[in-house]
Formats: sequence, C-alpha cells, structure tokens
Amino acid sequence: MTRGVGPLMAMVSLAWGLVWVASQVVVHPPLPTRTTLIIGLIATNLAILGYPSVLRGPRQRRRRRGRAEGDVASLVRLGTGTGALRQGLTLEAAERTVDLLRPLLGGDAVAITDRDHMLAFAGPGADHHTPGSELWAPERERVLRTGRSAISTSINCRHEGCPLRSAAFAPLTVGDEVVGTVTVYRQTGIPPRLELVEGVAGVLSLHLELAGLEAQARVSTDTQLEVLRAQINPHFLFNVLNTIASKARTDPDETRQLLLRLADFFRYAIDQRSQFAEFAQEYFFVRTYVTLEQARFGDDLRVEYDVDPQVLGVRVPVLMIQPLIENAIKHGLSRKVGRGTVTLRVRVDPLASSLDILVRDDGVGMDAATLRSLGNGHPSGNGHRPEAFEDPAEVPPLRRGGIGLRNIDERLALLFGDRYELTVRSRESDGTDVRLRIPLR
Amino acid sequence: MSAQTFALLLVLGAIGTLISVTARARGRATTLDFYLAGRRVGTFTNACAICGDYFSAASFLGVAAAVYASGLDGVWYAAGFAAGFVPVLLFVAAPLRRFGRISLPDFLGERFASEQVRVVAVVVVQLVVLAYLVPQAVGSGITWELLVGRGFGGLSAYATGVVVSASLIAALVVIGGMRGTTWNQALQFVLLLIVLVWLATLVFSTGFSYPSAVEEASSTPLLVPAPDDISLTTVPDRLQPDREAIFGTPGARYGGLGQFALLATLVLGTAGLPHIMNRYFTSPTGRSTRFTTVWVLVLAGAFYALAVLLGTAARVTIAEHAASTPWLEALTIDGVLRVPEHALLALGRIHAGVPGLGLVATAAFAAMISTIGGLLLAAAASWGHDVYERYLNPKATQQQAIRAGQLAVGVASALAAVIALSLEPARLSSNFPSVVALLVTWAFALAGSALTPVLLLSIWWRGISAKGAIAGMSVGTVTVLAALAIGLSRGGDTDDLGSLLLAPTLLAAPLATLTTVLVSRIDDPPAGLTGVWLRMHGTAADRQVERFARLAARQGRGR
Amino acid sequence: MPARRPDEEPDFENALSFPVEGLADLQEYDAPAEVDAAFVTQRRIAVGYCLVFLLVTFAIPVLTVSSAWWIDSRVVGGMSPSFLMAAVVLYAFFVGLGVAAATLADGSEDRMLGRAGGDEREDGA
Repeated sequence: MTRGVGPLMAMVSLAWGLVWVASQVVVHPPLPTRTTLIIGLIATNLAILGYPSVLRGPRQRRRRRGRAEGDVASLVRLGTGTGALRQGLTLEAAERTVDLLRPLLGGDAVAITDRDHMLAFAGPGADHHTPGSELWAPERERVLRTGRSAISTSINCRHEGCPLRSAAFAPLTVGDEVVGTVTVYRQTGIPPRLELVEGVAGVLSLHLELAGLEAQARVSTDTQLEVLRAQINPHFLFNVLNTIASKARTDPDETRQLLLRLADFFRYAIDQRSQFAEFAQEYFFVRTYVTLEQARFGDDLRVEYDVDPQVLGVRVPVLMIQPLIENAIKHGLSRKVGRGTVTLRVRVDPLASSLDILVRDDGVGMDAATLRSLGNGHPSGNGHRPEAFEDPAEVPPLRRGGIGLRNIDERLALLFGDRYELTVRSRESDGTDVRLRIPLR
Repeated sequence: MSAQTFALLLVLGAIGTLISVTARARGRATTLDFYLAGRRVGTFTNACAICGDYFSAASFLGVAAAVYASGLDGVWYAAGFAAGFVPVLLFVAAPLRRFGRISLPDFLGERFASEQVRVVAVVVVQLVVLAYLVPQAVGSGITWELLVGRGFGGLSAYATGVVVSASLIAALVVIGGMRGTTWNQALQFVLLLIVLVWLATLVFSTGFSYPSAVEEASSTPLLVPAPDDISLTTVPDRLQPDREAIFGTPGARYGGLGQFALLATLVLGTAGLPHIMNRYFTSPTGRSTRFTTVWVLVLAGAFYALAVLLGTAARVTIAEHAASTPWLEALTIDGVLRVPEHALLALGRIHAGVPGLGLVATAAFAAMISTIGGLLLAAAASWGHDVYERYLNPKATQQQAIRAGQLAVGVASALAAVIALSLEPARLSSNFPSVVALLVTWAFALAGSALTPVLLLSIWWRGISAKGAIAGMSVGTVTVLAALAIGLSRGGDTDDLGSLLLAPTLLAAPLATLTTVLVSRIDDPPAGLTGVWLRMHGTAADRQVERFARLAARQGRGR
Repeated sequence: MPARRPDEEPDFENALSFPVEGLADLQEYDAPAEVDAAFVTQRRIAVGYCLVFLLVTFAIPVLTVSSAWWIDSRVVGGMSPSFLMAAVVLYAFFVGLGVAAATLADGSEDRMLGRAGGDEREDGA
C-alpha cells in the first residue's frame, strides 16, 4: 500500500462517520436509508476529488530553513585559505575577473590579492602593480587582519608617479577566514562606493567557497553533494559578471539586484547539507538561476512556471531541477533563433504518491540518433522501460551534452533504486520534453 | 426613561468626539490620513473597524427583526451577510490592497488607466452609498421613535431621529476623518458585540433554552400583524402552499427561487461595498488583509449567531410578557410586535428595564453611526479624491481636497436624510416586514451586480478592457434599477418572480459579467499589463514593508 | 586557520557583511514570470475554495427545496437540520474555510515569491 492512500482512507471513513452521525444518530426521525447512502456516496466522491486538489498545500509560513540536516555535513570543510583561493581563483581567472570588474565597480583600477601577493591588476598603474608583487597598503593589512572593508582617500604608493589616489578594500572570505582582498582604485580623491565593492567581493567569496567544495569533491569521490555542486558551471560566474558589467552604467538598480541574486545562487548551492530539500527552496534556486539567465538573454528567453500549491511542501532531491532548466536553455534554446520558452510544470499525484516534473522547451530539439545515443550506457539498467516507447525518437536519456542527464540519472538510481522514471522526448526543431517522475517521501 | 437614555447617548457622543479629536491632534492631516488613516492600522483593529462599518442598523436591529418576523427565512439575512466576506477573502482582499489606491473608483481607474472607468465607477459608488445610507437613516428614525418617543422643533419623532443622527455623524466625519473613525468604528463594534453578549447572557439567565424556544415558536403557525393593524394573520408557506408558515421552517417569506436570489445577492454584494473595500486599503500589507478578513469572519459569525438567537428569544419572550406589561402591550397586537425592528429594544427593556432599553438603543445608534460614518467617508473619498482632485481642481492643496471631501459628506448625508424622510416606514413595513434589512438588500444588489463582477474580472482576468468594465458596470446598474422598479410596481415579493426582482443579483450579475466579457473580447486587448500584475499579485512591496517593520522592531529592542 | 568543529555552521552573515545601506537594502523585486506562476496558483486556490463554499452554502436552499427531512426532522428541541445549519453551523464553516484558504494562500505565496529563507536569515542574525 502506498503511503498516499492512508490519509484518503481516513478521510472517507470520517466522511461516512459524519454522514451517519448527522443523519441517523442526532436527528429524529433519521434520514431514510436510500438518501443517506446517496449523501454518503457524494461525500466520498468529494473527498476523493478534494484529496489531490489545490485545497491542500503548505499551511505554515516558511521557517528558518533546516541547515543542520547533516547527511553529509561533516565532509564539507576546506583546506587552508591561500590554497583555497588558488584553487578557486587561479591567476588566469583572477586576470579575467579584474577585467570584468573594472567597468562594473566604477573605479579606474581593480586588483585582486591573496594574503601576501598581488594576483591580478587592471587599469592605470599596471606597470608597477604587477602580479606576484608584494602588498604594501596598511589599509589592506587591516582588512586582511579584521575582515572588515575599508576606504582610503589618500593611498601612498611607493612607486613614484603612480596615478592612483583613493581606494576601497573589501575582503575575500572563505568560511570565516579572510583569504584575500578586492581593491578598487581611483585617480581622484573621491573613493569608489564601498557597498558595491563589498557586494562583488561577497559574491566572489561565495564562488571561492563553492570552488573549495568542488575541490573537496575531487578528493572524496563518494560524496554525492560535492559532485552535485561540481556540476554548477564554472563559467557561470563570468557569464553573469559579464552581463552585469554591461549593465553597470545604464541600470545601477538592476546591477545590484543581479549581484544579490548571484549571491543567493551560490549561497544556496553552498548551504545544502542534505540530499533532499523542500520543493519551494529548489524552486527558489531555479528562479534565481532563471533571473540571471534572463538578464543575459533578455526577452529572447521566456520561462513559464506551472506549480500547484501542494507541490511546494514536497521534499525533492536537491540541485536537480536547475540542471534540467539549464540544459533546456543551453542545448534547446541558445542555438535557436528568436524567442524561446521553457516551461516547468510540476504536479503531485498523492494517490500514486509520486511527483511529476516536466521541463519543456520549444528549442532546436535533437535528431533521433542523438536521442538514441542518450540511451546508451544507462547506469543502473532500470528506472526506464525502452520497450514502452513506440516512437523511435523517444528513448531513455543518458547525456545531453555536458553534465546534465547522466549525472541526474545516476543520482536518481542511487536515491530511488528503480522507483523513478526519467524520459526524454524530442524531435528535431520541435523542442524537447524531459519528464521526471519520482516517489514522494 | 429619557434621563438615563440621554445620559448614555451623551457619553457615547462624547467618547466619539474625543477620539476623533485626539486622533486628529497628531499633526496635520494629509489626504492619506483623512481617507485611509495613514495606512497604519493593526489586523485586529482593522477587522473590528470593518465590522463596525459593516454591522449597521440592518444587522443589529434588522437581522433580529427579520428572524422575529419570518423565522428561518429571516435567518438567511444573517447567513448571507456573513457569507459575503468569503468571496472577499478568496478573491479581492489581498490583490486590492497590493494595488494600493485610495478608493474603489481610484483602483478601477488606475487598473485600466482610464478616466472614463473612474468616472463611471464614481457614479456607481455614489449610488451604492446612497442606497446604503437610506436604510441607516430609516433605522435611526425608528430607534428614536421608540427611544425618545417625541420630536423636536415641529418634526415627528421619526424625522427628528433621522435629522439628528445624520447631522451628528456628518459632523463627526468632517472633524475626524478616517483616522478618527477607524478607532470610532472599532470601538463602536466592540460596544455592539458587548451589548449583544450581555443581552444573550440576560436571556439565558432567565432559564431560556434555545432549542425549546425554537420548538415553542414553531408550535403554532407564524402570526404577523394584518393590514388593518388590529388583528393578526397567518402567512401561507411559499414552499408548501397547502400549509401555513411556521417559525422554524423555511417558506414564510421566500419560495424556492427567492431563497437562492437573496443568498446570491448578499454573498456577492459585500465585495462591491465601497465603504468596506476602502477599509482594505488601510491595511499595511496584502497578507494582513487576508487575516483581517479571517477575523471579520470570526466576529461576524459570533455576531450573527447571537442576533439570530436573540430574534428567536424575542419571539417567545415578547409573547409571554405582552399581556402583563402595559408599555409592551401598546407596541404589540396579541403579543406580536407591530414593527419587528423593535424586537431587540423590547427585549432589552423586558430584561433590564429602562437602562436595558437605553443600552440597546445606544448600541443601535453606535451601529448606525459607524456605518454611516464609513459610508460618508467612502462618498467623500470618491468625490474629493477621484473627482475634485482630478477634474475640478487638479492643483488643489491637501486642505482644499479635504474640504471638498467634507462638503461631499454634508451633501450625501443631507440627501440620505431627505430620502429617508420621504419614506414612511410604518406604511412600508406592512408590505415588507423588516424594512431596514430589505432596503440594505437593494444596496447589496446594486454593489454585487454593478461593482463585484467588474472588480473580480479586473483582478483575475487579463483580457478585461476599459470599455468592457464600463459596459459591465452600466449594465449591472441599469438591470438592478429596472428590476427593482418592476418588482415594486408588481406589488412586492409576493411570488417567486417578485422575490427575484427585489433581490436581482442572480439576474443582473451574470448579465453584467457576460456584457463585460463580450465587450472586452470585441475591444482591443489592453496593453502593458505586466506592471499591473506585478503590483497586484506580486508580494515585493509587502516584503519590503515587513522587512522595515522587522528592522524597526529590532532597533526598538536594541535601545 | 582556527580549528572548526565539523558540525559548526559557517558564519555567512559576517563573512558577507553586506552593509545596511548596501545590497541588502535593495528594493524587493519580483520577476514577471514568478508573479505569473504565483498568480495562477493563487487563482486555483481561490477558485477551489470558492467551489467548496458555493457547494456548501447553496446546498442549504437546494436541500430546503428538495428534501422534506431537512425541514421537518428535529435535531434538538425544535431545531431542524436546516435551522441548525443556517443559525449556527454555517458560521463555523465560514471561519474554518477562511482560515484554511488564508493560510494556504499565504504559505504558497511565501514560497513562490521572494527569497527563500532570506528574511529568516536577517532575523536569525
């Protein structure tokens, strides 16, 4: 017996009990048998109708989300600070980052340092603020010591003729340790706005922390969550920063909004301590991701959500829906000319005790051969029924470019054994449906 | 009687004035303060204030009177009045507040970005307000008649009551504005509820049993005063024409269709009442309006269950005491009241003597004052804000706009008083028992047919266009007025068709909805709805308010 | 690096240190697609509860017209099921329905719009 049936049985029994009491026990004369039966039947049918309906769903306001749900909490810790920075932010990555940050932060020059050395520098004065050079500013020392950001209106570069006059310093932190700084310089005495520098440093810090977790994943291969986090596209940060940089001058409000969303995105990925989360939280993660992508693609990307209230409280595997959406955007829509739509439709079937997630895009689709290749090398050999598909262009998935489906399939097999279905349905130039059916827990 | 009664009335008036003045004393009034109490009203306080607006003479005297006169069919008023807030909660409260304007016409005008819609809505709102004001004025006349019993300055007792209450309340509103009246309404509602509970306690303390009272009242056919005013007559059961109506079963007033018509009218009407919907704009967030409405449902449930109970008690108790009590004998024919609205007042005097009568009368006045106050403010808001500030004098200062609103208050109350004076309730009530409740039903029909369908569609349907909204409101209004005119000329609700015509929402609301949809379909689909939808259905503004509130609370704790 | 117990939570609040006037003080913002999704869900909730409301409320006149038992039998004293329903039970039903609808609408909205746990984080800091 599935778990979903129990409450329904209770409800039907209650309905009949109420009908009996109301029509036979307390009333004189009692209702005739035939009418009573009819009313009871109506009540039963209404109970069955109402059971999976929208009348059910989350009742409580959301509480502080459960962080201490540690399935794997004990494994998520990092190495020493400088090492973490090096892993997350290589010299090349730091170079690329400062180039992106320079228009974004409204300064003349931008620098990223670790605890001891300059890692990257862009802007006037690059001739003597070279990567690998020693740090000298006392303000930066203080930032590294205290973890609090600082402003200086008159920096005293030891190099003569240095054009930089003022600077804002913000710490890069991993966990509670300061691993480096972001510095923005200006050639005038008016220092850059500290809040924006701090915001960007905060996002970079989160990215570093995530990178640290990914590094952890390479060491301890058996922890699923780290593998999941590793799926988060390492270029995502740069893509989004690119977008943000392009809007920094025209729309400061949206810039700050996007930075905040970006921080939310990384924070959510970092904060996960359990294999399962409330759907509402995954939905938040998806929305955050989509907002950032929409900033990039503009009106060409439309996303429609179709979510029933009873879905919101259901527990689903973490970091699973966002990759599906990302696949749809990356492989389905990004090559499509003009506007594309991704639909996320989620339904609960409480009687079958299952959750149905459908991600549909109206993008380029794929040909039968590509689709068939997805079916090869299915990890567990279950969870799908190849013989059930009449259409040759519809087979169980494996891998649809990059990370995506294979990982998800593996993970589902691990979590649910063979009690799940993951199907891909696609036709060339006619979009793709990915359908996921998992048991409620 | 008069000494104590006047003392009580004076105390009430003094309290009301005091509150209005203190509320006003906190700095200069802005238009937002005047119409919307500065948007800082707590959930429960606002629920009480909404109840104060809503529970009028029709609810306090009228429901008990309807139960007294018609038994179970009168209970429908109570059920319908309470049920009206369920659609409000489900469909209207939160989005309306989130869109966040000052009045119902203001909301509709802004929603469609159309001045025509605003103007049509102002007209409809004024009609509803007037239709609702008249029964309140009638109620105050009736109460004065029984309480004081004589008129002043050459006016009849009834006329004096109408004039005194209308001018008193107009003065209160002009002085106090919404900030003052919010507390007034809340306080007056609490007074109302206390009096009802107190009366129920008295009734129970004399050994009253609800079930056996119903049994006793139902043991003989229902008797009502005959047209000749000296004898009683039975009423045919409209559901089973072969038998006579009795208290505990339906059929005394409404046939099959009439039952549905009345219920539909009351259920749909509340969502279109301008003075109730304006209250929702005073909530701090959309979320809080939902829980405000839940509180209203709780309070309304308690209130109406008590009113029905007291109506039943009055039926039994008055019959028992009529023969042995001289003053009661004068009001009754063989133990049945001539004017059913006197039921609660008589009950109060039977159980607690003249002070009891005074207290019930005070509560009745409180009910009327608070409702009239709310209505006058709604009228003021739509004239002063939607017409004067926009069309007559766009460069008006805050003070000028408020003055225009105050002028509107004076005009509306004078108009209502004149209409109430021209109606003679004694003549009407032989045809229509519980005339106050009936008149209120017409206001509900107007609101529920002309405003509610358009309001619901404009919140939940993207396709509605400005032309559709105007057509819907016009068709709703015209249909209701025509149905009422035909119904009255046919001689009242003597048959099913008559009941339908006198509670015409079942007819007019679908017609208005259909018209709105059809015209909107023909019309171009409106553009630029994304912003409207973000504002109406998004919670960003709510969250901002809640965050600031939390921040303020934390800083408060930190100090 | 200071030793940290494995179960200890990283202190993101201090690590991030968004200043009060900075990013965290932004206007709250809803994306149109999110609001659309919330709107559709809210509409379903409202219509669902409205159906229940209409079903129960209009069942009373329907039963009145169609069933003699509804009017003529007695529950307690002189009260028929019809009288008891209209005079007492219905109000309790309205309150129950109101609480159910309001909490569901509220809970769904809370989860479908705004930042997941963002506000709580501020509170818990």
